[in-house]
Amino acid sequence: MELEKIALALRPRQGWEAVDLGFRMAMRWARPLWAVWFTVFLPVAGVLTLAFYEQPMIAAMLVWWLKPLYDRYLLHVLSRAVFGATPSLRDTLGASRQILGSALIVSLFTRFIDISRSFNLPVTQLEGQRGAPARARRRLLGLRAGAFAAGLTIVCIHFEWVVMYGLHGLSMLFESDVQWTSEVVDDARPWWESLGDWWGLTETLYYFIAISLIEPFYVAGGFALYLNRRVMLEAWDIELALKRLATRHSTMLTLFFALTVAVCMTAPHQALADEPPDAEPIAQADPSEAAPGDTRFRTDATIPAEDSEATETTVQECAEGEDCADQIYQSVDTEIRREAHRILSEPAFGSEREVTRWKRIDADDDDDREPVEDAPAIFGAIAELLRVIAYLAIAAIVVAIIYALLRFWLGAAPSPVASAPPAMLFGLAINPESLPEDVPAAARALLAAGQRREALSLLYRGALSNLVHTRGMRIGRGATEGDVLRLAQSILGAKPLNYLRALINTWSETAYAARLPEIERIDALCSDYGLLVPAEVSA
Amino acid sequence: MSESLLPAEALARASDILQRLKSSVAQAFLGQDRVVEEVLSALLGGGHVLIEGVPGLGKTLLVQALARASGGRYSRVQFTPDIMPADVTGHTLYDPSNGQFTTRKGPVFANFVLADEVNRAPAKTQAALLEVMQEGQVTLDGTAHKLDPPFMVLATQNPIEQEGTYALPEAQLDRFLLKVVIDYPPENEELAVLRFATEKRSAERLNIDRVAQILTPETLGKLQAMAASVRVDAAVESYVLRIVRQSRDFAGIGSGASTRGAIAMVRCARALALLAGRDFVTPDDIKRLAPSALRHRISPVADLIIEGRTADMLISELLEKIEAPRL
Repeated sequence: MELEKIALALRPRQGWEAVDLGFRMAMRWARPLWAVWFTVFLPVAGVLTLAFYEQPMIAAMLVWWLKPLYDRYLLHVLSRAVFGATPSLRDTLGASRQILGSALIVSLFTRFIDISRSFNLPVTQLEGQRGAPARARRRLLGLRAGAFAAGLTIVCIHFEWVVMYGLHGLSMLFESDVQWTSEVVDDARPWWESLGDWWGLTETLYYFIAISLIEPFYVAGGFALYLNRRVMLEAWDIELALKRLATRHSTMLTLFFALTVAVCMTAPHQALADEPPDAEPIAQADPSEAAPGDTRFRTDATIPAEDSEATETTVQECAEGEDCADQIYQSVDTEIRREAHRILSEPAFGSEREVTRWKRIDADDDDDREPVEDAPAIFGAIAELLRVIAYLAIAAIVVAIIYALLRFWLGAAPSPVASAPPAMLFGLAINPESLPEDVPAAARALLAAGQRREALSLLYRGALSNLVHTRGMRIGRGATEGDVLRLAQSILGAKPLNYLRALINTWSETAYAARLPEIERIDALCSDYGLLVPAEVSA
Repeated sequence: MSESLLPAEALARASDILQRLKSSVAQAFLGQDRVVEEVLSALLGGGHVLIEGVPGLGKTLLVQALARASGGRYSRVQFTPDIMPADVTGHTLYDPSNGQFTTRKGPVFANFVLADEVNRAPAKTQAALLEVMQEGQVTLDGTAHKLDPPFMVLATQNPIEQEGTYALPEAQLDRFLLKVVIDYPPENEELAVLRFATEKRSAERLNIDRVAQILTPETLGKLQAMAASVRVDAAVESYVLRIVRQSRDFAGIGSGASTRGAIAMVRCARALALLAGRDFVTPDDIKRLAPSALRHRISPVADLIIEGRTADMLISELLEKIEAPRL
């Protein structure tokens, strides 16, 4: 790894400080970043907009879905620029196979909703990790940086919408007769249904501008967080400091190594034997770019064994005047380790003492536990059950999303709840089945029997039933008689409305003044019932 | 349940007078029928009104027109931070020429008192006025002076200028039968106001020449008595109580309406029914008056105030959720 070429001041940073560094990186390499962005983004956005000219929102959604594609080009530029090798646009486009080949399809279909997308992208694209190792790697990196990565995503999403709405508002300022009341807010339909009407080509254009402005910052911020996490985990800053120190003192250390050569000639394997048997090889620079992944960013575990062999430069080569920086580093490292061993063997670190504490008899260590023979079957069954439940839950969520999308694209399906009129209203049964076939005739019969209130009640029920079941009027539980009349004004003509007003006034007088109307008045209401409910409807 | 004691002929005559009174006031106070109707309801209900509205919507004109159409005496008190209780109620002076104390009655000795910008007065002056409103009499130097009926205070406050004001406490707000909000009139009615106020007029003075006197204070007293006799069905009373009681437990309302709120609704609903020529109250009357009767008696919780929700919005939600009387 050519850390000494890095263009950043490496040190452990707080999360937001790292994000800030990323934004500075985006500004520093703005020209190559936006050049590659527009080269990749504009054709895709243009084609999708033309393909979905009638439904610009779908174009915008597809452009959003393809964000991992453009992000990869941005990350490619940044990952090389930080090591002082900013690629040209031609080089970047030429590396498309390498850029897009590293699990792009998987990213698009399985990880397109990733709250830490820009932070996790280097794991796939630069380290070339796949499957379980990639998950473990993301988990490890995300332990102390995941919250900042998620925060970065949320902030950038908000800024996209701020830019978009800002442009929308700006354009509205230039319109003379604009209706300032938001249609989305006023519309009684669900927001996702009215959104389709509101979202047009201009909104799609504003969205494209917004993501073009924000996305390079987003990718750079995530990449800086990633670098910062590697600095924390692998002490890149210390490694770099040692390398620079070694380079500065290479002349003096050549002499030191001459001495080391002499020692090694007498005891050639003694120095290697001092190293602990589990010592890991230090990753060294490997400029070759074997796909997938970028060796600049690969972890020790991912570097092939032959790469590490390069670290074992012979002392002979040093003596012949080769560039010995890496070898010096290795030797210094050995000296440091020796010193560390010496310090650790001192009494302050090396003393032993006996500690006694209480321990439960049955609380054996995990390793000592005997496996229960039935456990696999029991846990396996539970796991299977949970798996089925999880699949069912996922299926339900997918169905719900598809249903919502279908409602959005194909128009609202009639809601069974909304379309079902109530059977009772104002404490009165108003479903058609509860009413006689000929309401006026039945009312007259009640009137003849001296039941004036019941006759009036029947007419009132019939009128309400007609309004609710036949004309689809929706009456809330808090609606009064006056509210019914006001609601009916929008669906009734003058004559039926006048009849309804007379009926409601008569009913109110009966109900609230405890004054029974004259027989003639009820009879007239029976005769005029057809004004509100035509005979063919009531039959 | 209260039974109506109104003969049909008297009811028709009362309704006719009230309609003419309403039209007469509306001759000067254009485009605000709802406000006129609510103020007349409070007048017939024997209560006082708190009027809230931005400057320039004719609050003073409304009171002047009402006083003229009702044949009552009108006075106006402009409340300021340095006004004293004696400036409102009156005081006694020692007259050295004859060696006796002389009583000077304050502006409250009128039938219609406009307390302009009542929230600009300090608490003790507000309290003095509100005491007069409650008691219907003024005590000056130990002597009680009865106020001539009808006595109605129409206090105004401005919703947009809160600097240097003393907000009325809830207990004092409760003394107002209704809190009427005057909003900007519709465009066509505002045009009519504009023409009426500017045609062949150059002075700033309010014009109530077109307002005819319809009744006398004595007639008004009889109308108030008639309004008190309008029938309120048990179902309607139950509806009123449900509104008031549920306002105390309703989500978003910090403190609900008092019993006086229920009384205010019934009193004004009776007046509204009489105004409509009915001798019985319907749930519509209650629902129509509930916002004005309750908006100063309930307080939204702080969270909702911050969100911009008003008492009117909460009352509207409350009325939607409370089932109207079912018979």
